[in-house]
Amino acid sequence: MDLSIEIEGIHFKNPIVTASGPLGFGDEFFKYTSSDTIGGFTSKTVTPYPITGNIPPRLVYLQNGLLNSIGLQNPGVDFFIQKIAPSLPQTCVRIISVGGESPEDFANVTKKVEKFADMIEVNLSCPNVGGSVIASDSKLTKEILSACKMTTKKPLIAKLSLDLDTVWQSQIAMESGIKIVNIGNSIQGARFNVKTGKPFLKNVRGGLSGPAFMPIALWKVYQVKQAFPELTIIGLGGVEKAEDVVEYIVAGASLIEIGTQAMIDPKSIQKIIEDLKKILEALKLDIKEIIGASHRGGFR
Amino acid sequence: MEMLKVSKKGSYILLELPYSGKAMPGQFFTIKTQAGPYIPRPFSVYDLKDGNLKFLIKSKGETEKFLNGDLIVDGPFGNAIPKIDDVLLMAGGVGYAPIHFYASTYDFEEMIVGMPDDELFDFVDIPDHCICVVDPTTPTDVAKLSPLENILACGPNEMIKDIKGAFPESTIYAVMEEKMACARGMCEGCAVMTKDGVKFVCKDGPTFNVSEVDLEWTYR
Repeated sequence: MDLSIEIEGIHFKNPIVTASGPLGFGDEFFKYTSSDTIGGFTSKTVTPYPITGNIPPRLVYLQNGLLNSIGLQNPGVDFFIQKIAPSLPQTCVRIISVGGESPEDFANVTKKVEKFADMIEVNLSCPNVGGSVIASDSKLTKEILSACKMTTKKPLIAKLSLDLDTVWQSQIAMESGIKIVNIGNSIQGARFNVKTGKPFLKNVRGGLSGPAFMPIALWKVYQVKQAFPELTIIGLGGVEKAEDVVEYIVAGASLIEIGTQAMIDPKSIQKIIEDLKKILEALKLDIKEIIGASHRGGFR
Repeated sequence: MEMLKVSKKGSYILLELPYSGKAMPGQFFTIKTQAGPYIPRPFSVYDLKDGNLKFLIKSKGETEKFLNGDLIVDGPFGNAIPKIDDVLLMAGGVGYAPIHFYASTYDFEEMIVGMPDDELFDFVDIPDHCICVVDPTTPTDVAKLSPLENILACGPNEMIKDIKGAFPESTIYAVMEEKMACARGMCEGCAVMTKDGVKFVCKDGPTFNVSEVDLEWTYR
């Protein structure tokens, strides 16, 4: 069966894309999984200037997930385009995640990275100058998305915050001419140490990833697909196996990102793709035929 | 097939696995099972001899509940501890694991091991001519009497800070610990601030020259 999919003129050989963040810029990940295998790779978010990241501890182990508080650590766009971007893989779709505080920041980074990217992902979960998430400010979000649109002809992805209404954010993205949304960034959470009375993370809160997060993300994907059937959705959160990928597709996602699983077991991605093919063969359906199937009464 | 040896009160575990590969002192493996934990946990090698790989694990009710399942062991990760001349080895608690492996691989001058209790002291294998102290006496208290100027240490964060403060003229290497998720330098979870910027315990360490590490940032 056909695993390939075309999104805004970009061909993905299968719907599996790595998520921004956990794999950095891929230098370690591609030692374990070839870029020939995956549909696409998303870089860590690149910002105008280097960011040191948060002081440790940056991780909290959970029973069925992980809290991370890395703090957008990255070497800044100038180092990225000189030393990292030229060696990004050429045999899968390259998605570069851009970040910043203002429309000018986003436009500046987008302009510098676009020649290395097949698609640009706009990270709307970055904090703005006031410290709140950009996505919480609809005016600023529109200005940023418009600034990126004016800077590049490459397809843009709006990466939404799951801490806010994703239908509302999708509406704002569509009003800015965006046709692909990523649902979304890890939801914020916290854990506290009962022996000390302090939070485990120095930054108190971190992003929740892993299977614990999957039902929440699936519901958000479903809601957005129901509200905007024409919108292309990238779904992610907690995928460990091919069956999880199918859940995201039937909920409404056209592409599925894998982050934490690719990080803790990078070799497992190949098996997920092979198993996905077997599931589709058993169903005798192509990927394109099952996108959003749950909205149409399931498989036919 | 793995073997588990549990200390008298159940606070510590020695896990022994057949292993045909190589590993050097300072390197670590990650361990999980199909049933969990979700994030594989990193453990320094305690010993590797005659095809048997050993880990010293502090029992906190988290990892050991999975140890009876089929283990998924991955590694070795991280870099080997450099061979250090005329070295004073210092260990605290289960931080003794990489120090034990170092001591069984290379020559050393002196070793001071600090244990929180007799239970761990009775459980592990400690060379005869070593000094052992039990809380509240610390290895740093005893090390002040040593003339040696090269130190290799592994233990709690406070111990590493104490050693750096007590021996400003010494060359101190520390096998550092930090929570990590990937063990491969991808997730950037196990950050350490150095004079060359942020480095990672799993990929750049776990052994660092302490004079190059900003312990105040790293262990704030």
